[in-house]
Amino acid sequence: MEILNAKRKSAINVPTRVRFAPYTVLRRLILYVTVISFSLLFAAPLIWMISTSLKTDPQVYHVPPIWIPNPIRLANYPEALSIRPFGIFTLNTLRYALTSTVGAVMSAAVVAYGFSRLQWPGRNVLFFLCLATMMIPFQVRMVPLYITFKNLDWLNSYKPLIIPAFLGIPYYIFLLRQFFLTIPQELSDAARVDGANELNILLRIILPLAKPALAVVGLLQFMAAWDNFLGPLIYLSNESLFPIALGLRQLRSDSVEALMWPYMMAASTMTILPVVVLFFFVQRTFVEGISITGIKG
Amino acid sequence: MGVATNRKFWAPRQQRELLKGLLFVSPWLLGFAGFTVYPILASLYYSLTQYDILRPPRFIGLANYHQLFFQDEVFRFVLYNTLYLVVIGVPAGVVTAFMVASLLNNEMKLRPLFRTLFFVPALVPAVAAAEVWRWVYNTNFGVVNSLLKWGGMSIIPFLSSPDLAKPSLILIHMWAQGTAIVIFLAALQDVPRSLYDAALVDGANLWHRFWNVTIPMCTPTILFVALTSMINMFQYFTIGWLLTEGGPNQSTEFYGIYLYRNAFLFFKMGYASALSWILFLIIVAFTILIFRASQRRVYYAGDGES
Amino acid sequence: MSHDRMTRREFLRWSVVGAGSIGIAACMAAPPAALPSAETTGQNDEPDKASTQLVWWHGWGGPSGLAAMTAIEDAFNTGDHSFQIERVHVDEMNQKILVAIAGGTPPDIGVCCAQYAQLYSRNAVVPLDDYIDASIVIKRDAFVQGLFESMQWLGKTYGVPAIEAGPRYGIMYNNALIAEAGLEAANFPTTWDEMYEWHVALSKFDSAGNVSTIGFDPRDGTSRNGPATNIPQFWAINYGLDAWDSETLTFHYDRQEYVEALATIKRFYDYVGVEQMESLRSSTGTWVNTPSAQFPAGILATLNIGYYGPGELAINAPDKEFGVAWVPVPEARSGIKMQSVGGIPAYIPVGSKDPDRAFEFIEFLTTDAVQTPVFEATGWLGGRKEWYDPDLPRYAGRDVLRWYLQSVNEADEMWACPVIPIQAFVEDQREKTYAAVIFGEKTPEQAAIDMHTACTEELRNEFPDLVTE
Repeated sequence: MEILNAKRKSAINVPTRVRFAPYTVLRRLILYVTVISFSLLFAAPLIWMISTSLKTDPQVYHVPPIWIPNPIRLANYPEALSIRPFGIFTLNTLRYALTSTVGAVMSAAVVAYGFSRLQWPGRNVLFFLCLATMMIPFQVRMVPLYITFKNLDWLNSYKPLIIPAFLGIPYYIFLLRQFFLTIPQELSDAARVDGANELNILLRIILPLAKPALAVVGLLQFMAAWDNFLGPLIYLSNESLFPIALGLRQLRSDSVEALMWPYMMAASTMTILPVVVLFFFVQRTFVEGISITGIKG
Repeated sequence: MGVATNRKFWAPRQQRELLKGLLFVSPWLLGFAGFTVYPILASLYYSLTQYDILRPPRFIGLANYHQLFFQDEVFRFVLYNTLYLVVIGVPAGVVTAFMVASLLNNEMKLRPLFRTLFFVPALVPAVAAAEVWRWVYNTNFGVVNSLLKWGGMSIIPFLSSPDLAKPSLILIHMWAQGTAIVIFLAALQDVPRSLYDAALVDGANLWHRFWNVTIPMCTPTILFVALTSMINMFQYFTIGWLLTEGGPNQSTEFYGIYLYRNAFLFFKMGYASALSWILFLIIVAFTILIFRASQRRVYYAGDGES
Repeated sequence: MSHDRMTRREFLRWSVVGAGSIGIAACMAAPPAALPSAETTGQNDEPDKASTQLVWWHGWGGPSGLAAMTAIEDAFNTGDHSFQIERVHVDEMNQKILVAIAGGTPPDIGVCCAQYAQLYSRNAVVPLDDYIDASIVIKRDAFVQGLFESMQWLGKTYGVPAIEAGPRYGIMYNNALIAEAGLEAANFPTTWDEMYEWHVALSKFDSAGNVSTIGFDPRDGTSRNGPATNIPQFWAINYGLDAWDSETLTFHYDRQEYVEALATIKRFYDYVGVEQMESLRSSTGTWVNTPSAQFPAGILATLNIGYYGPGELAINAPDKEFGVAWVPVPEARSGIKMQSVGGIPAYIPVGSKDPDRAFEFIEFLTTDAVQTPVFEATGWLGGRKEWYDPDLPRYAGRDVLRWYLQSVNEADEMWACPVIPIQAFVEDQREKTYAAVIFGEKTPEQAAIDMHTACTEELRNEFPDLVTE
């Protein structure tokens, strides 16, 4: 327990800083200039997006480019979002992202427990297989999976996208297993002596300790679901079922080629907003979680 | 942990343990059997057939593979483009992420803000990222070319030139490195202070410390990020499909795009399956290659735990 | 322990997220139930009700296209029919309809935007001959010649021309740009050599060498398309080459005519610079259905476009004036006026709940009750001959459109639309062949041979029982 806390503290609080007295001021200046210019570079496309989303048509095609629109045209947002039922798209995506996140976290936790906290013959062979499946490109499984889902009568629903998440995604299993391995075995042993069964140990001891790691898995899956384009593209045909990624694509086909850039950018901004808000809330837990899961080696 | 035992395999206690273990991993086993083993075996079978999913598959032996290697002119482009993307794009992404993480690892004010700024691009869904970059790269009114035109210079045909299209897509990839940055940041924070202090005593300058302490201590993380990035890069699809659809002049006809085209536009599921199997083998080969090459260089801090 | 503090803070943060998600979840529980989505109609309704609602997919979007489709849906559902129609707009229709037919969840009726020939040749849509023979609404000879032929495969008819059909070719020009370059519309080029001279005269560059106006783009509008069941391949037929022989089911891309056509395309690109031309087009857009596309925006001087061109330009470039002329032809075919009428089929996918009623809806789609509102919203003509009379009152004052209608009667050559069972592959090859030539990667000779070989081999692989040698 002590080891764990120490490790965690080091991850959060202690940056690697080397004192270098004579050049300190100059060094700090260089550092800030570099970081600020780099971050501006990274943010520029998104600033350009938001800026365009607030422009009137003449501003869009103005040379040289305008960064701060004046006047600001907020109406682009309601107008863009009413071309297609973006409310429904957003709700569809949220439903898909939330359920698949719950499924991915739950299943990865249970399976990772089996692969890390229990000793049983064949465990390592199966775990190796599990890791190996990460190398199989989605495209290999795409066609037969499609046919399987067709036979199961799952097409045109979210089942093909959600149910597999409940059956354990190897990458997340790997992450959680790495973390579970760092939890001292004595904790489980003590609980076993007290008569707890394995499920109890998982729920009462391991999971409470693993919250940041679970958050990482949750956020990664949420992002993956929010981002998923190929899956919905293949499995869903009705517009009323579309996630926001396909909705944005629909909007693009409406606004064929270059028309309505402010609308496209307004809709893109709205697509990004929910995930950014989510990240804002969980970012510390996320960074913390990454530093305690096994990702870094 | 994981030590092979010579005890009797079917001892009652072990049997119980086996059952318990299998019970816990059963969700994955179910998914593995249903959504992995079966599809890849089916895909292997389809790759030996001509199949348009409208009519039953027709067995044609190795004809798809033969066509792939000896007749399909496009396939060579596809291999070249994909390898270009992997060989240049993956290192470019990893280096970018590591540099940014190293920057962020310094003590500074507003670190959470900067961290968010660097991370947000990774949150942008591929479809939205494609739209944003289509607009940034626009040759007339995009932010770069609009400025160039205004300054009386010739434009940069980012996505319209066969030479620039791949680099332009790689730039988008380098931009969306947020997850890798956060992973590297976590690794960097775990490098023991004592090592830097020791290096300082030895008179190592900033660059030496970075090269001889920071990088070696982070090699397992670098390997992990590079591997997952490589596996994903081989399957590159969405942004390429939305932005260039394989053009100009096939310069962005990547593996995932060509596969999709064959399966869902040409109705050639059998051929697409053959393509996907070759892709699988290429990924396995690259993974082994990277593991081999990195064996001597990766430093695992003294625990034999995992 | 520090651990406990951490948990509490986390707990707070997560509960905010959690509360938010519950709120959102609560919101989304309501709307989908209220929506008449296909999911609910297909499964939850009582059986008798479900059988009286047919699902119709169309691929057209855009404000005017959607307005037209909605008008059709309303006209049908308010009329006296034994069933209702549920209209669904489907993007990426081709892939979706394949997947839906294979998956056994097809719509009952489909219109537009699929690889029709591939569906016909794979028995994925219902043959309509018996329905058409029994129909009093649909008589084959009431439709423009060639349309029904483009919806047939091996003697069976799989589609009925509906909603959009009409002449595909006519070169429209921007009056102001032509006058500015000192050219006269009366002397509009009739051969590609003359057209090239106009291209040189009309193209303009800024001081840094960036192109600002293009004379003619061989890969915009209907020059780019085909070979498809609704439009032939312009650069083959313009040189007099029927590249697909529907009798022997063979390709003729190895002919000299095709090599010359490819060389002509390249010539137009070489003058401006291929990357310059591709850049301008990709940054502005193609066709005429958006104001910012290169032709309506006034940075492309001439464009080969179908009969819908004038109508859409009236909306998207109301401040500009345009004329129209016969498309130029190669020197050797000088004086020949060429045209083609292509159309979109309405079809019934295999697996449709009720093909009889689906056909009733298709009949409805060919009537004036549909075509009139469609024409008003989009300018589309449909397949019936009676709509092609230039003297109809509804065309009064629309001189360019009347030129298109007249051209059907005046053309020396009327080209049919080919039905190629590997259509998507051939179109992809066309795109790759043009690109390889204009980017200078292959000579026209090599590109033509390669395309011929690729298409021939593909057909042999995909339809071995059709190919006899």
